[in-house]
Amino acid sequence: MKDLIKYLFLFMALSTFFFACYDDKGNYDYLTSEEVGDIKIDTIGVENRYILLTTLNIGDRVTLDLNVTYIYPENLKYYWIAYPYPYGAVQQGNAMVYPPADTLGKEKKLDWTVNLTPGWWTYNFVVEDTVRGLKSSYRFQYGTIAQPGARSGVYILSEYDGQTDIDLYTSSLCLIFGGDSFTPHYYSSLQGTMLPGKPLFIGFGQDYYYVFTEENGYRLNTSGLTLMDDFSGMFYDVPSYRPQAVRYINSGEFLINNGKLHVLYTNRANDRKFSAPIAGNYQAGNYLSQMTRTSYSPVADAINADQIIFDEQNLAFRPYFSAATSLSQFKSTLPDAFVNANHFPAKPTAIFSSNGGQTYSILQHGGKPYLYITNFYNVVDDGDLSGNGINSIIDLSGCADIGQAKYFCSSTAGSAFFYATDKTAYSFTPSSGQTDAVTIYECETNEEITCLQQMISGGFPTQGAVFWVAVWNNVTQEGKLVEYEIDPYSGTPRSQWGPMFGGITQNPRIFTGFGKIKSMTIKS
Amino acid sequence: MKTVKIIALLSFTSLIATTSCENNGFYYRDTPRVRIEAPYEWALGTDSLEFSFVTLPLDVAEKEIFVSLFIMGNATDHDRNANLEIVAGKTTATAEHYECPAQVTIPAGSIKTDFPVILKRTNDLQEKTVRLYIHVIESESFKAGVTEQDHLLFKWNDILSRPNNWNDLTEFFGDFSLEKYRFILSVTGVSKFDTAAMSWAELNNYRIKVKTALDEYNASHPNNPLKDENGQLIEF
Repeated sequence: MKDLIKYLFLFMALSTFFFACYDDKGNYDYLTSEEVGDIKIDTIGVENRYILLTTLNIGDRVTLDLNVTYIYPENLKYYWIAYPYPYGAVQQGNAMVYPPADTLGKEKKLDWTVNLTPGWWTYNFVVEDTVRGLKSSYRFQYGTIAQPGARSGVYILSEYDGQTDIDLYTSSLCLIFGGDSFTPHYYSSLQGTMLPGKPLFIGFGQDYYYVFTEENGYRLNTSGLTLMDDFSGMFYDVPSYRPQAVRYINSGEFLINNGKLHVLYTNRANDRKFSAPIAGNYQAGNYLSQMTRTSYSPVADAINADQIIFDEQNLAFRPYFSAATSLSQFKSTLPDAFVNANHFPAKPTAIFSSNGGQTYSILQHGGKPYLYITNFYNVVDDGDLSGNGINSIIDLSGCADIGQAKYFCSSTAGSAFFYATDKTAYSFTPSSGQTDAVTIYECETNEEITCLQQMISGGFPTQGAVFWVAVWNNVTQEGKLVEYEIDPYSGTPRSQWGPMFGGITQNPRIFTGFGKIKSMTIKS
Repeated sequence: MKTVKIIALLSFTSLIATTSCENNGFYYRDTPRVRIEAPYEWALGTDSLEFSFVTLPLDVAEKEIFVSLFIMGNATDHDRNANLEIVAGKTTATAEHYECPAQVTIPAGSIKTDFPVILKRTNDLQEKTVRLYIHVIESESFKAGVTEQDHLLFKWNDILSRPNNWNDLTEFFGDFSLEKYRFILSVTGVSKFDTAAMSWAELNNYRIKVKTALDEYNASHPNNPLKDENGQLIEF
């Protein structure tokens, strides 16, 4: 019996070996790998293939069409999804769950207006064969969506029905902006309401915006343009409200209010409040310098002031040195200096920074209009702060309407400056030898000019090369922006960078749909 | 029996009604008296107060503090006088240091009035503290009130000393001198510059303010610019 069991066990074991050697042909119908195919996704030749990896702004339009290779395209379904980076589970009730992804599109070509919350995102393009169940995806990781308000562009302070709003405008001409866009009512769309009072001016501090209206001043965060402080919150001791100018340079924010200079050094421990008025016997005009010193090959013993103002009481430019308690004075002017920066013959009607840091002053004396050119930027105060040698005082008698001009602007990126009456905008440059102004824009009936702005010196290669005339139509009650590409040295329109980089063949271009534009500032 | 019960119940109810009509108000029926109180912000509810002229502008020569005098009793249809005395044994201030009325009039119909005690800023207060002890005494109309409120003690001075953290303040105010410090305190109204709590910007703000004030002072005293106790011109 024992042997019988042994033989039976041996037989069963041997039988197993035979089964293992049996080749089961089966009844299935297999496809070759060529017949099945792979869903291949690639970006070869796709022009804007990095678009989702760039910093996007809410409201941007993104189009992207990737290459998909597959032998049964008729079976394919496409979708674009996005989920936050890093992607993690969140608590829902007692469970940790992964939040569903946002669907950006269900076509092969993505056509999406950015609407996700600011932050980091991962994007996935998913392709699925709905018949055979194959799926493939292409991932873009670490894309960024910027906070509203942090976006580069022209921040436009406009009047709408007696109130103030900020519109955002970007142009393909300004290469640092990335393209044409216009977001009217940018501020009120984010905050739900406009700012009370008619607009005065807008400026950009170290990392926030300053808006002044006829009623109040506001410091707005670049994150969503939320209110940080009103005028009373900007000071330790609140002065009378009469804002004139604000500027950020040399790690300091400088504000002129009611004829006095206030400072806020952002590189020092601070409470985000401006100082008491800087001491001194002076009455500050509206001018604050854009450039006073350089860290790149500075001239030895250069003036090195933190800020320069114009003292209308003494008709003199006055330097303000780092963290000083009072304004200083320049050295006494030499008798043979072309311009006496310590005493002008008259109060300038306009002062602005131009041409590599020179300071242009427009003033009338002896019955004639003049351009006075001084220079306090990266120069030694040797008693002669004339900015252009023998040509530091230029007769502007040939410049039409200069005596009636209400608006002026310039850029440190070129020697030209622009001015405008209610009806006409002109340019003039002291570097060409010309004696008359060039007419840039003339208003049509019912139109009036309300503001001028020139592109800042930053943003190679179009620094200083864009000039805007803001125009208001009294009948249609609509504003428009006339945009020129100009030569910042000659002050005349030209078409150089626009056709080359922006595909722009028109000069000027006109954009409509604005309010009554009163002031513009550029955030680069 | 039933009638008796009803009568008893009615009687009881009437008694309660009569009792509830009685006026429970508390009336002072003793001889009229007076008590005095110093302003709470200075005395903090106690019978004494301390005051320093140090943080006041230099041109402030005196401080007027109003003391409240309350009547314990009813208002009358005629003026009444309360008497005060300076208790010599508890007072070190001399006549040049203060003004305090010896008699205070409570107008007809009133049960309260305020009277001023003037503390004067004299030079000797820069080196010492003086005391003034005033006490209510009987008059024709009033007796003195409760002992806790029948007197007030004033202590005041104008004494300065170099703050311990002046080394941290040198960046803003320069070298220390008593006159400079007195000027700073008088301009800013700040009693302590706490460098741990105040930012650089806030301290710099005070620095700018005292510089402006110094310019104004020197402009208004062209022949006598502000100098410190060592005869050195004060600068910021």
